[in-house]
Amino acid sequence: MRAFLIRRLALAVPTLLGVSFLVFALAHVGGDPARAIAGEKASAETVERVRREHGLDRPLVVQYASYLASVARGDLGRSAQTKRSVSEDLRRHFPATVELATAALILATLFGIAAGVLAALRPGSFVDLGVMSASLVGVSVPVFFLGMLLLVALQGTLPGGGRLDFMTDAPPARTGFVVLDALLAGQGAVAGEALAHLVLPACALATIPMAVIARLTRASMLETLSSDYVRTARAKGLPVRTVALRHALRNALIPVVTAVGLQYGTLLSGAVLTETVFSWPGIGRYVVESIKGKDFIAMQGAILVIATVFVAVNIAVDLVYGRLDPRISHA
Amino acid sequence: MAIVRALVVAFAGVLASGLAGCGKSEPGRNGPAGGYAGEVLVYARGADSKKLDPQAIEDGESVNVVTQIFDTLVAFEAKGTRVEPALATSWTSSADGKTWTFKLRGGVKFHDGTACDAAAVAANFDRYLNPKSALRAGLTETPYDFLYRNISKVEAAGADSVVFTLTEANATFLTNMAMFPACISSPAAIAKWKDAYGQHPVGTGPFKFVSWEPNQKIVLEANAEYWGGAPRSKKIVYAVIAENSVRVQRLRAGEVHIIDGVPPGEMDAIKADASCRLMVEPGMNFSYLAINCTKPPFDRPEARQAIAMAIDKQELLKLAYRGVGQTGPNALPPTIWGYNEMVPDYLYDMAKAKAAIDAAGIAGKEIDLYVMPNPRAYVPDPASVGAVVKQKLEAIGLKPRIVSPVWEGGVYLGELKAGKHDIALVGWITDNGDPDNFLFTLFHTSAIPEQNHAHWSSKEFDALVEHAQKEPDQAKRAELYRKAQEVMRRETPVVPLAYQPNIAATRANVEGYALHPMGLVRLKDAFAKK
Repeated sequence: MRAFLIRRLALAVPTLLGVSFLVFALAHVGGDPARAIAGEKASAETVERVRREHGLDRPLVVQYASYLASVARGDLGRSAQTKRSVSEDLRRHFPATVELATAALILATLFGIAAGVLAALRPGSFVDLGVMSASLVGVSVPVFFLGMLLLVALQGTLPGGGRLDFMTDAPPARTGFVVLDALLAGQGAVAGEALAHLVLPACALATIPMAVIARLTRASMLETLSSDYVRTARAKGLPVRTVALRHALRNALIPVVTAVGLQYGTLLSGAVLTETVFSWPGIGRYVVESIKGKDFIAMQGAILVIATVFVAVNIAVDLVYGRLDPRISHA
Repeated sequence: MAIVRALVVAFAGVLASGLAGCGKSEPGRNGPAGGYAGEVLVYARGADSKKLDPQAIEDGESVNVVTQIFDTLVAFEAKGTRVEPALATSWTSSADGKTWTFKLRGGVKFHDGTACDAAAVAANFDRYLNPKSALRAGLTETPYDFLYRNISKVEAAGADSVVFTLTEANATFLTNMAMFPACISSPAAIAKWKDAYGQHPVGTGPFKFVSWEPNQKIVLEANAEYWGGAPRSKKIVYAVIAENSVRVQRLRAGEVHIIDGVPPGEMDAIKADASCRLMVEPGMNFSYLAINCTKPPFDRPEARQAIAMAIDKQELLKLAYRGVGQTGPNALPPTIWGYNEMVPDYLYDMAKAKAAIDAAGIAGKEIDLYVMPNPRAYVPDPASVGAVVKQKLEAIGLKPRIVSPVWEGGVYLGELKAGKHDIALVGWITDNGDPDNFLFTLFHTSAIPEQNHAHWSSKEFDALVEHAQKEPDQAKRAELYRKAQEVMRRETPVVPLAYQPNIAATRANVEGYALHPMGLVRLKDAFAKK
């Protein structure tokens, strides 16, 4: 297990280096970062001064090496556009994404597994047809459209975006998760408000993973239910519910765990569309805003963090997979 | 473990105190006598501000917030572009127009309690114009300094007078002093925050900066001691709602009070909603086709005039601008003084345009039509404008190819500067409400290649706008600009397409808010009626 972990961590280093190089290269293609910082109307003289003062007149290799050296020191730099520390910005934006992704994943996992099991227990029935059709719709409807639909349909019932009402003061930031911070500050009403704000974006974001999980659970359950040991359990006269939930489900969930983990990695990478529709200040929107403003320092920092999280989630999924299925060895 | 314990304590606290009211802003204390007319006013826009240092910004979202926090020496009047006293109560200029003396309002303090005196004003301009200034730390980008480069010296004359010396007389100096880059910051705050000053702005304006949650909201609170009288709202919240239609949706749901960037397609829905009010006022902008006068065949006026005759502006307004705004013949909007109403627009005449193209022997010529990929305030739907213009150019026998490089990072404008286009869709929003800011800034020979996207040079035109820039008498200046517009009509370096109004929407209970023709947002007197 330890050797496996070391091997995966060692592989993560070149992966992240590759990502950082790619992002650095992309940031310097198609457009002049100095012009982007100086402003649309800035004179050529001002643009040149900005280029000098930001070190953008140095060779690209030197700029990249200097960037890597800063990252190695844990310094992601200051945003070229806002002058804020990128690390500080990410500390604000990333918890928002984690909060939303976690809420969405909890919804998707609970409902997805339940729907998949129900469908597998009665294959070909109306329930099965209903689950399969709904999951097809779930993976097909664009999140953007679904988000707008939810906003219009539930206008006035649930808040339409943001982490809190605009008129509410945010609780003191201790963890960055507003619900948790509000509870820690003893502000129950604010925590309730934050939860209410989570409902619509989490529902919109949950649809695709929920559909994927439901379909995968159904397929895996069907396969497990037709295996020999399940047939034996039935032959021994165990009730269907016990066979399904106690014997079949545990094994059927092994591939589902992988899917859930990978979905979480994807959700943490920033749900750009959901975050845009619901004005959610997460990392996805941070990346989009930094790309729009050609804020290459912010963009590099954010994408590096996203890539790191994605790699870490993948490693974690592999480890959990090994725990769940004794046949898999990480030796 | 500590967190779990804290959570348990928190839950107990919640149960004990009841659920209602925690964290909500408290109603006014220490406000003006009689209290504020409104508590919180939520202004929603499509993007966050970048930074709130007036000398370092150019994006509208930053300017919007800065306008509430800071004052300038003089200010644009409520409904127009004339200037009136602000931090300066009076001003005089020397006979040669090179020396301007401003007498400051007494007793004005910055939000940090330091005095806004002549030394502070001089320190601000020293920071802006002198790269070696002691307050310069972190100020690398100064996008608008080109408007202030004619200032050679700024000196305090006693505690309440400031003297500006110019390299040469310039009639736009005073209006430039009313613009946001000339806002006066607290030198003590700049020295304290250094390169983080843009996140901790301190001015003398009607609202004080309180907090900023990036990509969520900026909170300001009323400056009850404001020299111009206390604001009507106790608190302003600038909220970010990126998606246009969602912003409209949340206004209609009553979650915000004022929105800008209203998409034309949503205007009817807002009008029909009794809980909202749509505001449409003529603006000071225009969109136009810049014809590259250095590239044959468009180096000849006849070829350029053929383009002008091929565009049915009324049809274009209806199809590509959703019927919003107006059209006209001039390269500045009718809301700007000096607009020449006697200049006739080109009549839409396809037969004549086609004949001109045939006569020039350029039928079938392939040309690059540049169209920006994303909406701008002066052209909400550039793709539709591009499609209509392309179709018209095809109808007169040309073979246009639409080219849409990205706008960000100066790519689009960079290609226009390099003269890669034959025809390009561009536009302009006024900086200071002066005709000079359109005619000189965009079409004088010295503006090639920066802003003069037509790459057009005319000695006759240059002489007129140069003369107007130095002439102190506004009536005489207006006459010079009228003549300059006649030259442009004759030479046709550009085809003006449309002038767009400023559009906003509010909840029906919002009072004291009016649109300024320059697009300035002033919230001092705005409030949501309780």
